Amino acid sequence: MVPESVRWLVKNGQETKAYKILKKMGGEEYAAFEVKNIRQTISTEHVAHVNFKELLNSKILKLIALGVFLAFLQQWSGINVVIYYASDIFQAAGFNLQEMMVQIVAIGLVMFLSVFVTIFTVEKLGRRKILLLATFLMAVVYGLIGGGFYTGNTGTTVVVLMLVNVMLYSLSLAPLFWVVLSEIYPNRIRGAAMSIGATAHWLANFLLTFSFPAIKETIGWANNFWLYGLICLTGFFVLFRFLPETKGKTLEDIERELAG
Amino acid sequence: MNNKPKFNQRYIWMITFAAAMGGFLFGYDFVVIGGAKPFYEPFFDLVTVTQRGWGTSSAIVGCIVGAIICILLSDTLGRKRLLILSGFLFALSAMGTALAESFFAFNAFRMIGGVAMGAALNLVPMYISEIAPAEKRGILVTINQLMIMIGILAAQVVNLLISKFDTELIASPTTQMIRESWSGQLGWRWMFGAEVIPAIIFFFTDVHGS
Repeated sequence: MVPESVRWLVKNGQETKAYKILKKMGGEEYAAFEVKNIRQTISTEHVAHVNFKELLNSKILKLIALGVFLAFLQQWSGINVVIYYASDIFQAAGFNLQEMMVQIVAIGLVMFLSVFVTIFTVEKLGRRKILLLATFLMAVVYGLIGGGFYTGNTGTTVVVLMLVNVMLYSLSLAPLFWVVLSEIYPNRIRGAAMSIGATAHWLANFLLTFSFPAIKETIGWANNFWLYGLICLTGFFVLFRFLPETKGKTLEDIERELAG
Repeated sequence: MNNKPKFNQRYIWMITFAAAMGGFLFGYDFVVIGGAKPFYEPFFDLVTVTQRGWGTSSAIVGCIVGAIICILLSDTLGRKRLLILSGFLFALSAMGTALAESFFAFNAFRMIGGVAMGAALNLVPMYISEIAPAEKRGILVTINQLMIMIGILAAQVVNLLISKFDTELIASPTTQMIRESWSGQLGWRWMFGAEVIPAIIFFFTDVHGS
């Protein structure tokens, strides 16, 4: 049912096994082409050998920095707070318990449906366009939510805006962090490099969950949302400058472009 | 390549969904705690904020460990072996948490589940990305996100059904009443225990095949 990853197999010197799996997927010509293509990205000294020093190579370090940035952006763009502290936020916006429960269900539904938007657009628009558009719009919406809390215009408008941002996040940063992270590292060290991004994601999650009550207490609701807006805007500019488009390219072409 | 290959779509999608069961388990494990919380807390007599905090977040500690294990081992052991390991740990954790008689055992098994969660969340997209044809890679990796959402939904439905099963518990019970009820004694155990079934399926589909 689940064969070993063909790229790991080639890296580990098991080309025959990789060829068999690829042949089952796309025929002989595809299998031969892929094995050869993957093989070209792995020098003889790298076969069946893991060199963690590779991670310190300057090109790879830059890609790891991009992964860690995306991890923090995904976690600190504020949506986890909306989800974890939904009841506090909706209470602050002036809703009772029953109304809150409905809104929490609405959050789940919006997140679920948004994934389909990603599925239908990720190979057409690409990762870059979706991420840039979403981070920019999220910044604008956070600005409005902060404004709502600042002027005391909360209520339904805030809930709708919050759901808009949950949707934007769920169709962009939530899935595409993992898509991009799984694409930008070279075959020979993808496992370690990608896992560093995943570890950073948990670290960022931990820091956010623990610091949120204190941050909110100190700066208040309005500033809190403006802070997330600022984070999203920073994310937009950093990604605009540093995020490569990986749509439609083989992992090997991406590797030659970014780490070659 | 001269000709565009004709892909065996069924095979590719089957592998993707089999691997993305890891995402389903992640989603389930991530939120099952929320629905079980009102019942295991009285059972273990958790009163302080620290105790309650440990109950809900012991799995997160495991998640970090799971991700770090992947830094060290995913290139050496390969993706498949670690997916098998995470399937095993998911099943072990579901069983152990369901049968826990002490709060210490409860947290220990939740942490083991956390290791599986941290590993799966990272390994599944890595794995799918590495087997997917280039023009479908983004969609196939996103399927994992879809399965996470379905796992979350499944946990919420299972929690709701199990809590409805206890017809004797009144709408606003005291802590003492919860502790003595079916929900407080056994109900929450089934919420965690139900995960054994998808975990075992995930484990065997990972073991199977070359």
